[in-house]
Amino acid sequence: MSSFAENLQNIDRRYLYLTLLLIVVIGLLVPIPLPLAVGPQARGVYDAIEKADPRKLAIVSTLWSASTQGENRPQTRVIIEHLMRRKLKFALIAFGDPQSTILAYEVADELAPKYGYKYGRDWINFGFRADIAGTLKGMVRNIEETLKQDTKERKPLHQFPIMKGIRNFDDVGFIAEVSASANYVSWLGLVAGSTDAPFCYAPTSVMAPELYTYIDSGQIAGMLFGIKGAAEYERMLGIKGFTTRAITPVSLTLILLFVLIGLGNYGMFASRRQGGKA
Amino acid sequence: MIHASDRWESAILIALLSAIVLLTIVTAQRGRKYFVRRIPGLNAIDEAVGRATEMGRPILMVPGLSGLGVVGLQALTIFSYIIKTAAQFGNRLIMPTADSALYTVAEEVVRDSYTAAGKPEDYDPNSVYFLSDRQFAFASGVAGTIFREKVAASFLFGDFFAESLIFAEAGQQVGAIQVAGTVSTTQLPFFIASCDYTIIGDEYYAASAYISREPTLLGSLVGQDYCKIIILLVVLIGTIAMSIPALGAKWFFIQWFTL
Amino acid sequence: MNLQKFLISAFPAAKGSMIWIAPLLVIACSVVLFFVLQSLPGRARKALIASLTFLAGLFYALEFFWPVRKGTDENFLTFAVPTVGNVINVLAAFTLGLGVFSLVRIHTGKVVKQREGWPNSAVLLISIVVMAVAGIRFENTLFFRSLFRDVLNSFDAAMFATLAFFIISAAYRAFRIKSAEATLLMVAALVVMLGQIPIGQYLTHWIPENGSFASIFRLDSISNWLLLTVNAPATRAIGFGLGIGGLAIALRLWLSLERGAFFEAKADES
Repeated sequence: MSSFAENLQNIDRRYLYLTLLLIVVIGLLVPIPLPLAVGPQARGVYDAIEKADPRKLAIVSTLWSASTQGENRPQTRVIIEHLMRRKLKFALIAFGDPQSTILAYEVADELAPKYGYKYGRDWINFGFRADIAGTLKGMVRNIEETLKQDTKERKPLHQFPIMKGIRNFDDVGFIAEVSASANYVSWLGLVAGSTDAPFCYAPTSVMAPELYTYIDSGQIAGMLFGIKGAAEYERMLGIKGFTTRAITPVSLTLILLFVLIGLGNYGMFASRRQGGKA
Repeated sequence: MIHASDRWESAILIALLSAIVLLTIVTAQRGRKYFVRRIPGLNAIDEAVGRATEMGRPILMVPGLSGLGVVGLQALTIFSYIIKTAAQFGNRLIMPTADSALYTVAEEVVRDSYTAAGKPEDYDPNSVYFLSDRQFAFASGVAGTIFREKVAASFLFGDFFAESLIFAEAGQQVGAIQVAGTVSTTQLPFFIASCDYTIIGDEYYAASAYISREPTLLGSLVGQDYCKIIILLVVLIGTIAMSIPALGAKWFFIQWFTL
Repeated sequence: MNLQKFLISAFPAAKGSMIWIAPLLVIACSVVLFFVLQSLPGRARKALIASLTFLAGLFYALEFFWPVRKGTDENFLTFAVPTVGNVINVLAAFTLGLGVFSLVRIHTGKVVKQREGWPNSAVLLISIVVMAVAGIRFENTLFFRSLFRDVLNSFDAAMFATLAFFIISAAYRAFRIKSAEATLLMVAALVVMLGQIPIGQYLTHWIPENGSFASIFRLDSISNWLLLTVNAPATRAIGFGLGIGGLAIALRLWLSLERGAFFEAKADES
């Protein structure tokens, strides 16, 4: 019969799953009111928007679908909300997944009435583009010629007041990509050298560690680290949205992970002492 | 950077690195012998195939979400070796794909590998199939296959994203021996946690050289190492220069490599 | 003569009935070409594959290295980049057809022969038809939106959510302190994770966030330092290796030097 220590090393995964489920549900229902420190990466995004030239266009690129909306939707929301607070005109563009343009549009459309943003005058949706490299290369030369029309009204871009005086990336003052993928390579490789606009990134937590290389080199001005980054941003904006609440189950899940790792290791050492399997 | 003329320094570096790789390939083809070590993950291929034979259960090969590019083709090269080994023992193979272009090539690779192993009659046309190009539809399809077929060995080589852990944990749950290799650095921790062997970083591209010992590939591998030494020197010179106030960021060498 | 102008004059845009005749001619030529390629001896086929691969790669290499015209971002080949991109898209569209055919063939076989799990195959086939019809005929209806956003999106989100469960069980199994390196890794992982969450940050909340030397000892600061100073160089080193590895394999494929790979094997067939 296996000892208690050996059992601690091999807890049935179904118990682990059940515990996690309970913890996430409890965390969502009973948030723990602890403040989250704002890191330098999230502050980088905030400062980039604060310093952006209001005469120039901001571009928010999205590459996420329903699967990662838990992290990417609040990231998109806080960036757009900050742009609207600063009265910056912005354009949405989507790559990689056609769902992305619909989901990002929903976020902007929902926020627009609160800040009196009018489509075509203050913001515009360039829509989904399948070929990121070709599109970005073209936009470096001429945005209007490359994209031709918007997605909502399907009208030529020059008919929208927001596009007045906007030719290429020289007229762009801020770029952010909210993504579940590694699109930053295209942005940094094809666009970064053609504009002075700061480039910010909002990836899922899994993707984030890869980005520190470019933050260190200064090629990425700021980053929102998954849902935690969005929660930090909400704190800077002084709002208590979904992420402020969702950070509790995230915290509890990591605590559960520490406990489980501790139990597994305790089981291993105890078993070794008893001369059992380690 | 869209054209070389946007930044000649980078273009010259690309040309120099390419020339080094080509030079070592040529010298290897002319008979120069190069030594490379074996890596444990690739040694495990034979072990995994042997185990599948003992258990009488199928072998799964997943090229991830790779398209028809260098990553996908490299995955097929590794799979080709596995198939030739497996064909000797009559193992059943399963290869679901997420990219339709890669699927068409994969189908031929499997058939040709059976022929090369002298067992063309064992090739099952249903063993390679296209599942879906949607990430999680593909993930659920592959996970379902792993559970239903109770695969004995699982080889995950190619481009992987969030679905990596779904495959690896499903394989772990059915007790499959798992070998993985990917260029997606963010997915490496998941593979390391769940798979028996993981091939890291550029070992992925070097795998075919390790497996085949073909002079061209060995030459290329040695060329890659020379290139890495050059990059290391650049980093070293840059670090020293940036630490000396008299040189600093305005020194021409640093300017070359500053965007 | 300017290459772009020459090509436009040599191949003027199809008008009228030629819009239909031209694609049919292309398809007919493709069929003929397919049979010609099939009948070629191995040596000739090898040379042909190598030449076409070289030419295709040469286009992109030349387009990249050829200096651009003054005052523009283009050289004499840039105009053709979208066209070559379209060719690749057309090829991909054809292979998608082959992929769907493969899926339908395998699952129709299962349903017809009532093999084990055939009801699953039947559901798959029905789903393909319903989704395709909804997308093509009823794109702007509640029916399609419901299928796409309520069903497909929910399935996607559910699959991604399973990762949380898998990460818990994988980390529990993998994080065992069996060596000094494993201990170091685990301590680093704990600090990084604690630094990301309010409960972890609370442990050192009494240290000021900014403006003091002691700030660097906050858990969130240590976590950030580990990610920026320890993680980033390691990621960069792997990135260098991957970049050079990718360059090497691209060169081998372009110049048909890749041995043992698919194209080499195909070329050697006689």
